[in-house]
Amino acid sequence: MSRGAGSRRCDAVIIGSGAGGGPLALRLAQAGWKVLVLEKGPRLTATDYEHDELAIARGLFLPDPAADPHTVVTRRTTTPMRTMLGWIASCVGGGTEHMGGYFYRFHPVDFRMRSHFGDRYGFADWPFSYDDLEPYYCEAERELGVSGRAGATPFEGPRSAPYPLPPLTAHPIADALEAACEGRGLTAFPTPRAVNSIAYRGRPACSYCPGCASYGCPTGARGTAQSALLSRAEATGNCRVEAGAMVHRICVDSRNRAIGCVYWSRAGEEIEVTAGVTCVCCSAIESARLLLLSRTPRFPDGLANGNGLVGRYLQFHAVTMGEGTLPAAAEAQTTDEGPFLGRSVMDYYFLPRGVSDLDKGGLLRFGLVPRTPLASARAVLERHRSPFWGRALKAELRTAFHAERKVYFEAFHDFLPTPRTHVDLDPDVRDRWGLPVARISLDPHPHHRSAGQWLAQRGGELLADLGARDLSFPHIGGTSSYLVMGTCRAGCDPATSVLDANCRTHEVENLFVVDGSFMPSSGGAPPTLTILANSFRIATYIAKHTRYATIR
Amino acid sequence: MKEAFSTLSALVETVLPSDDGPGAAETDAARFVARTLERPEWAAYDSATRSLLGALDAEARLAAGAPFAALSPSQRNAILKRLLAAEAATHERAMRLLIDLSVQGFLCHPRHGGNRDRAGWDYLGFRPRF
Repeated sequence: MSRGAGSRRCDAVIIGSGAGGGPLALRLAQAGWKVLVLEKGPRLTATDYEHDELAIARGLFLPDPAADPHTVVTRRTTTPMRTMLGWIASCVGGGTEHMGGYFYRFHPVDFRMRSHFGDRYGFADWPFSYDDLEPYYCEAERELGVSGRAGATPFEGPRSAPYPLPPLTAHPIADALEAACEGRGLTAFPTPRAVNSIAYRGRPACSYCPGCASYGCPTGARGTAQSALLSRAEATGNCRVEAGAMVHRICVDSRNRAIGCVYWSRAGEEIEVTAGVTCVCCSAIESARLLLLSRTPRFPDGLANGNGLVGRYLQFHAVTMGEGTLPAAAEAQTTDEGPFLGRSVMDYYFLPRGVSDLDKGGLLRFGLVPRTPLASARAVLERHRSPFWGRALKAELRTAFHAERKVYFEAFHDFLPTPRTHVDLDPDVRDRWGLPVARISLDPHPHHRSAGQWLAQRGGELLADLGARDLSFPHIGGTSSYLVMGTCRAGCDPATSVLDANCRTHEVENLFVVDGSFMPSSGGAPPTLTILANSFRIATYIAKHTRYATIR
Repeated sequence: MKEAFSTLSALVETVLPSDDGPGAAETDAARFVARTLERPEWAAYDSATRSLLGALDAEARLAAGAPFAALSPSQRNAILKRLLAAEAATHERAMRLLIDLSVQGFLCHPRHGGNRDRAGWDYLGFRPRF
């Protein structure tokens, strides 16, 4: 491999630019490190983010499924099938670019599932506690800009600081939900979101677009890795973000230290990076894949994989959703002003005894189905059994767009690690670079469904309290396709984990894996804030304890 | 699809007529549908859509002695109904696809080539903030 034009030197190379890579890039650049961020996907900007349902449907944020798939094996498949399971985004900023930004903290029990529930399901305690992470939760909330009300739910862990921003304005139906919850002895609280309720740090207040989650934010009101972290990292002059950079190998020296990586640039040039510290932040599935791809004579089964645990304990989230149609008559319920219902219920984070194998439920988040033209039209077309067209179709499109308002809830609850849910390299299918793709084995635990059924009943009761009709439950304990955790479990014992408490690999010095990969358990809420908070924690550790000057 | 574009265009205008406000004709929906059908993900539907358009034309020539595109809106409607009633198994899947794509061409973001001047959104009463 040639040096010179085909090589780069830096203090830290960060592979992946999302919730894991963003905080590292910002903090290390601020500490004076020369940082190179390599992102496989393109850099999208505000002009890509106009209100555009079709672009989302066509996969604006995702890699090309033909060129860059995963494969999946379940009990029902005999050969691996190509799938988009496990992809959240492929662009600068990663999944934070199109996230809903529902920024819940995990509950303290999520950090010590084994101590709390016993030695079951491959549970392990995290090598650090909620209290250890708490200051970094505050830091992530402050840096990204989270709107919420501290202390609004009695069930969350202790907080040392309030949210930096007040809650977003809610649709009037939030009052009805609060009343319904009160009637059942529950607490509805403002859903914390990484969306500005008021102008914050040079980014504007939210404009309350009808389409928010799964779209890019056209104004910058959403706190994303790009808008809140990478842009500031680049402004220090110490950080360079290169889009279209596909890293295919991590390099180690004869002394067992990570010394950088090799990637193909967008132009197809192979470039070798020499770095003091190498951070893998590609999200759980792709991070495991990169370690497994980086074989050396010393690490014949992949880097840091001496115990065979890279790719093991993969978790998604179990997902349960319900929805119903609100009565058309209520004027307040059909207005578009304030499109967010913005209320959550945490009372069911733990289940009563006997509901399921494990007494663990999840957070219910309530929302209004966004009123957008194509989604509304799709609902109209789907309910006609035979082709339907002409003036009647147009009239129904218009009526449905105004008259119908759907309300929903969703819960992302625990996904239990099972021996048959893991990632390895597919021996047959290769991506567009000729590399083996990640093969996902998926065998969800029955607990997801039993917990989901109970959560669906509770959520359904509250939807009914709001007057919603025609309730349906599109997912009951299903598998979320895009929230991924595990694969490089963190722990204190090198025999039973891949990473140490600071997300450094036990086996390779100067190699860190910083995204959802470290999580021994998936928690009962979406993991994004926890991934960000942990990345701030690791950034502080690396800046303080890792010497990089030796390699310059 | 070029030779069949006039038939496709007439069909899309039948799906979204212009008698109660902007329809396919005002929003370039037919051109959107034609361009979308050229995308690789719809390649599998190519022969089915061609066959539907061919059948509409044949039916029109038989019934009225003129191509489908030359007929009046009510004649087109009648022929489409008759064809789908007689040969639902053959043509229903392609018709559903063309309805879906027509509606996309009517209501998508104008950057994709349909919904010209946001006329589809105006018809619906949708006013995006961006």
